[in-house]
Order: sequence, then C-alpha cells, then structure tokens
Amino acid sequence: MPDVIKKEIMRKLLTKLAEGGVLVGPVDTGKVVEYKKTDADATLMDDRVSYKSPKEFYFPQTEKLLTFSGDEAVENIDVPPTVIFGAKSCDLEALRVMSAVFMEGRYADPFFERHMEKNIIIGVGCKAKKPGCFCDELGLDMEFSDFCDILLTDTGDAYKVEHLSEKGKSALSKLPETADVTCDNKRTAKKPEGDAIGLSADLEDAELFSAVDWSELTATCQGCGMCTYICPTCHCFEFKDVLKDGDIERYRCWDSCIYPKFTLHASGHNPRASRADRYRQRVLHKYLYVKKNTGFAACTGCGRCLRSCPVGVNIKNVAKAVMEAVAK
Amino acid sequence: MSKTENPYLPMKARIQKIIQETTSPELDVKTYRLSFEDGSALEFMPGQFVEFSLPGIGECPFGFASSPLDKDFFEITIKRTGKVTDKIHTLKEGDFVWIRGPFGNTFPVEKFEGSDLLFIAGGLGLAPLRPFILYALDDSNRKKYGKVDMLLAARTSKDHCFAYEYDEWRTKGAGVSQTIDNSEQGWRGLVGFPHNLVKDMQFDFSKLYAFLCGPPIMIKSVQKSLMEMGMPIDRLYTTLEMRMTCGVGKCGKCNIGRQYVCVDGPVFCMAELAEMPTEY
Amino acid sequence: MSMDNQAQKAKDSAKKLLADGTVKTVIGYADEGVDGLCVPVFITDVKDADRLVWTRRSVPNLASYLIGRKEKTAIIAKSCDVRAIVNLVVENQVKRDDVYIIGMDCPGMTDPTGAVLHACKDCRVNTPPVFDERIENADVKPVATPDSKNAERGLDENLARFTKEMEKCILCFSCRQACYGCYCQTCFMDRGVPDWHPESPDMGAKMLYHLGRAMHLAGRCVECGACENACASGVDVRYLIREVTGFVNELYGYDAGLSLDEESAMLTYKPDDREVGFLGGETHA
Repeated sequence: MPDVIKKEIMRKLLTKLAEGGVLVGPVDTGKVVEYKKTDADATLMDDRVSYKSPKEFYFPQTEKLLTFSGDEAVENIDVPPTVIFGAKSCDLEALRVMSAVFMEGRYADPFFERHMEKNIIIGVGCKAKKPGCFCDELGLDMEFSDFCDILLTDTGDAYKVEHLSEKGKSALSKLPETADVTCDNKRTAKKPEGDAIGLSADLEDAELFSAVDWSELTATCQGCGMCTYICPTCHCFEFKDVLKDGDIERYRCWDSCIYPKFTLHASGHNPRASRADRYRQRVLHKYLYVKKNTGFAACTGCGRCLRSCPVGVNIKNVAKAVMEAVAK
Repeated sequence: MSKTENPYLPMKARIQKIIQETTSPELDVKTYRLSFEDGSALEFMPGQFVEFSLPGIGECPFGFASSPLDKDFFEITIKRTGKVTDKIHTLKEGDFVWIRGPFGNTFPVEKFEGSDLLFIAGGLGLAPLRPFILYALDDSNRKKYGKVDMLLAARTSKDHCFAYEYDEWRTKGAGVSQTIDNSEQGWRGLVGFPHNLVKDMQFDFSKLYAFLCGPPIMIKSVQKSLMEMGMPIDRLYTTLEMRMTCGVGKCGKCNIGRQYVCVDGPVFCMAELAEMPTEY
Repeated sequence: MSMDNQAQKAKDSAKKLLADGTVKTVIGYADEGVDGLCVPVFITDVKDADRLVWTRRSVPNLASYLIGRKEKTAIIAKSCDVRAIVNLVVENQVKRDDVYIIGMDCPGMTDPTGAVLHACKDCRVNTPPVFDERIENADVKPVATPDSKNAERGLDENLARFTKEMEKCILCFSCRQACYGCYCQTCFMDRGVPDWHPESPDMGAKMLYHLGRAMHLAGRCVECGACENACASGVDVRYLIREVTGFVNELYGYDAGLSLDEESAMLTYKPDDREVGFLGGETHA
C-alpha cells in the first residue's frame, strides 16, 4: 500500500472523521479564505492560505469556562471533537508554541488540554511562499512540521501521507481505503538557508526598551489590534461574565496587548500608556519573552499580520530593526 | 474530566466579618474576613494573593492581608475604586463571594531570619505587608527575627489601615511610627513623607531587610533615601500591582519582560526589579 | 497626466516644502507593503523624499495622522482624505494653518488583484475640494451621479443583511482605528462603566458596536472606505454608515468635508431643522 491518498478519498475520510464532531477547514467565503466549520466538499484542497489562523478551534475567541449556578461553580468540560484540516506548517509550529504556553510552567490550562485531546490535526505542507510569508526567515520548513496528527503533502490530485501520531494512525484506520496506508515517517524539517530572524534569549529585557526609538518604528500603527486576533500565537485573554437563563456564565475572551484597556488599572494608572509601548510589548513578547520562557519564538512567519494590516505595519522589519540596533 | 486541575474554578466563601478601615470620605477601605463553608481557610504564605469573584460583575486580584497562621479564616483588604470593588463594598456579613488561589510567590521569610525587618507602607500598601508583619510578630516566630520597625504613612489621620492593632504590635516588640501628610489638631504621630522621615531613623544596615509598599512615587523616593543611607538594593523588597486576570501566567496582562507578576511575583526584590523593564 | 507624473510632482513638492522649511514632515505613501500596498510614511528629510509614491494602491486614509501633531505638516491626500482633513478642521481637531494639503486628483484605488475598491466605485468627489496645492490628473473625470444612498430595502431584508455582515466580524476594531472620524480619546466601546462588553464577540456586542459607530459618524463620514478596506474579515462595514450619510444628506443637504466654511450638520442647531425620527417630529418613511 502506497503512502498516497487521492483527494476525493481524503474528502471521504474527512466526512468519516467528522461524524459526531466538527470538521474545520479552509473555505473560500467569496471575499476571503478562512478556516470555518464546514463539510468535506467545501473544504479547499489547494495551496491558498487563510486570512486568520485556525487558533480559534483550540483557543476559541470566546469560550465558556464555568457556570455559576446557585451554590455551585460548574466547570464547562464540553468540547466538541474537531478535525482541523489544512493547517499550514506555520500554523502547526504556532500550535507548538501555544502548547508550551498553555501546558508548561507552574500551571496547565485544562481547557486547552481538552481541545488538544479531542482535536485531530491534519496539516498540509505549503507548495509555494505567498506574498508576506516569512517562515523561512524564522528557520521553519514551509513544507513540513511534525506538530500534528497527520501531515499531508499536496501532489496535485492526491496527498502524500505521513502519519505522525497514534491518533493520526487510528484516524486513517477509520476508512477501508486509507486503513492500509503506510509511510516511513523519516522526514524531518529542513532548515532553510540564511540567518533566521531572532533575538537572542540572552538579551536583557530592559535593554531592548531603549535599543530603538519605538515611537518612530511604530508611528504608522493605528492601534486596531487586528494583528493580534489573526495571529496564530497571540493568546492573551480576559474573563467576562454573562447572565444567561438565571445563571451566570464566565467566558474567556481574546484580548489584545494593543488595546489601552489591556493593562489599565482600576486606579487609572496604565503601565503601557502609549501605542508605541503596546506595540513594543507585542514585538518583544513574541520574539524574546516567550522564547525565554518556552524556547520558541512566538512568531512563525505566517505573514498574516503583514498582509492584513490596513497600513502595512511590518513586524518582521521592526524585529530586524531591533536586531540591528542590538548588534551595534 | 481533564487530568489537569482547573485553576480557573473558584470556591465559595462566606464573609464572616467586615471591618471599616478608613473613615475619610476620599478613601474607603474595608477588610473582609472570609472562610469556606466547612470553616476552613486558604493556606498561604505572606505575599500571595487571591482572585476574588462576584459572578456577573467580575473578578479582581487582591493580596492576603491576614496572618498565614490563622487557619480558620483569611482577610482581604479592599479599597473602593472601580466596578468590582464598588460592588464588593455593598456586600454584608454573611454574604457569599467566590475565591480562587492562593497565587503568586511569597516573601522568602526564612531568608530574613536573624535580620532586622523594616516595613514602610503608604496607605493601603500596608495590607499586603500585614501577613508578614503578623507572621514575624507571632510568638512562634518572634525570636527568629531581630528588630521589627514600621513607618506607616497615610494622607490623613483617618486613613491608617489596621490602626486598631498597632498597640498590640508594639507590645510584641515592634517599633510602629505613624505619619500623615499634613499636621492635624490632636495628632501625636509624625508629619511628613516617609522618604524624608526615614532619614532621621537609625538602622544597622549590616542586617536589615526593608519592605516597601504603597504608591509608586512613595516606593521610588523611599528606595532612593534608603540607598543613599547605605541600604544595599538586594535587601529591599516590594510587591507589584498589575491587572492579573488569570493568576496562572497565561492571560498575558501582568507580563513584564519575561516575568509574569502573577506567577513570578508579586513579590520582587528591588535588585530584580532594576533588571526588569519599568512597565508597572 | 498619469499617476506617475502626479507622483513626480508630489515628490518635487515634498522636497521643496522640506527644503525651504515650510513643513517639518511630509506624510505620504511608500511602496513598501505586501501585495503592492502603499503604506503610510513620514518623511522628514529631503533625501528620503524619493521614497514617496502615488499609485492605485495608495489605499490608507492618512488624515488621522495629523491629529496631535505639534508642527506644520504636509500631507499627500486623495480627494477623500482631503474631505477627512477638512472635517477634522471643522471639528477643531486640526488647525488649517498647521496643514499643507497636497491634494491629489484620484482615479480610484484598487485591491491586490487590480479590482477597483467598492468605496471608490461609489466615489462622489474625486478631486480635492480644498488644497494648498492641487496635483491634477486629466484622466480623472468628474463623477456623474452624486448618490449617497443604498437601495431601499424592507425591515426583514435589512436585518438579514446586517446579521450576515455581523457574522463575519471578529470585533478587532480595525474599522474604527482606520477611520479618520473615530478620534475619541476613549471609544464608548472601551468604557468600563457602563461596560459595553467589547471583548466578547457575540452578535449583540457586534451589532451594538457597529450601530453605535454608524450613529457617531452621522454627517461626518467622508466615504473614503477606510473602514471597509481595513477589514480583514471582509465585512461590508461601510453600507451602514452610507445609510446614515444618505439620511443626513437628504434631511439637511449636507455632505461632510467639502467646505471649511459650511456649518457641520450635526454640530449646528437651527429651529427649522427637520427632526425625522425625533419625538414629536416627522416619522421616518
């Protein structure tokens, strides 16, 4: 049995895997390509990249954490089994970062953990670099990431398969046509040529505050925060309580370091009062702080923020400017 | 169920007692004594904090204000300043609230054994220091520490928190000085700002640790005075306040450099803070 | 005259203004974005002025960068950007004397595929109504029908359309931040008390936000389409505000940003103002 699955068989497999759960895949909505709950027929199997990452399917934009019902606070453990199809290697590497953030350290996040347990993640290697993409400049292989259950390589009308986890193996066994697929799983990520963008984890945090003129570097930023919402690694959140049917439900909602309210104290004091302060936090958190804490930079070069920023703020150039300033 | 214990899940606690700490109209501070339904309390060490929830209103972080040695209750001292604290201040004894914690690091109390302790607090800044004060002054620990001195500042004579127990602290051998910003009729304590008053105090800097908490401007100025007098920076401690939403180092709100105040703090040595970006 | 010629003229003008000290900064476009997007650039040195460009991808509205500037600034402005600047002057956010407007005749902007942007298809004013210097383009012909209104729809149809658009919204506020008119220090959505629940992207919060913003832009929208162009999610943010703009035009014969002297419709009270929808006033058809 070869290690190749025809695309029409892949659609059959997706339909099978989504039974009793949800299928998420890239869909063309007419205006944009977007990861959505969908069916196998509408799932795009080409090389287009979505405008936002699939993170909302393992870190939802709003997620119910618990319900205050009378005398009890009841944890929400309801997570639908979800098949995420078509995640690119930038998305998969981002998931690696998110897993480190949510699962490592003194506390683990049970909600993230449940999503990871229930999700089957099917990655697809990129065939070509898109405008704005720079995963290669972060030392990542656009064709390959092993942080998934099944990795596919597009060969035209079929996919070459590498199943990389037990969950992936058992997923393939659900359909007679794919049950016998074998693959060697010997491939590893290729290191792209050239120096990667990156700030050394040895740098002092405070040193980078004055390394560059952040106001100048971020002068055109309009402070909308869209970049943080479409980013595959941004993970900041806030709690919100909502009254529902006599109970009170507590939700976790995405928040953004770009918003002034993010760090605003009740007293009115704001540790990051200016837009430049806030953009600096975004850049240094991504390229330095997360790296110090997890070993991975929290940017995988997916290029989404570059492509979607209304005024073309380019985080890559900002990071490079910081690197240059430090090198001097 | 998940393998992981849910750190976001609060427990129900009952308000045993409410103590009005301040009496001036500008500063409304109350202390809430809490315990769980079974009469137990959270186990914590000085410096730690809880997330305090009023369902439907919101959740806020507050430092423990009581002694860690009290096993059947814990206290939280709260100033009325915003949406959640406004609502908290309307609560009555016997009402329920929701608590999760304890979170954060602690004052390394054992490290300070054999040394003199100096606590300098401005206004409500005394609350997060009080657990350590009560811990150090407790009969079981008093001998472990040398001199215990306090300089407690407030805007007016009506704004000193926990003033009702200063005499008790004195009987346990603590030097307690109170100061207010401007002189008032009948006031017998000191008048003026701590960074000036501290210059008139005598310390043995070879064995002193100092703990500062209060408005940022007070902390900075007192730190400057003490260091000019010969205090090494690595013997100065403070506790930071940030918007700590999750308490477990995930939500990103209290992130300063690589540190998360809710996990790596809120207690920081000034030497450590000096290496961190000044984003607090 | 082509856009290339316009670009050269704008560049020359920028150099002259910087060299003779008329202005300290020129705000314009540089061809430095992804997919040909021309991104905002602040030029303070004559030798950097060659970065300035003017293409069909000079999409962002630059007017809001003028707010809070301390010194005299020149700005390369599309006709709609000029309308935004004019309205900022009318609303006392920017002093007329502090701005040097290099007004560009505008043939309309495009998306990365070369398709003309929706807002540009609806453009009613394609030459700068106010300027210190106008850079003409003979290819830019006067627009025929000044029509600011959406086609009439029924209530159900309106709600269905609104809901469909709102489903796409992720409440990232890029439309607000891209809008020249959203200059409030604290947006109603960011207020703590009352809390409008902005972090939760539920349908109610989204509708409230977009309706609130539309109301706040009544008689102030200059139809530049920055809101729609900024939206990564492909929400047609503009149609709601278009409705409000048409309403103000119909009632008060007013269009924002065309004249420095005309009184702003919503900032001026006249006893004979029509009060459609107000208590005791006419009912809305």
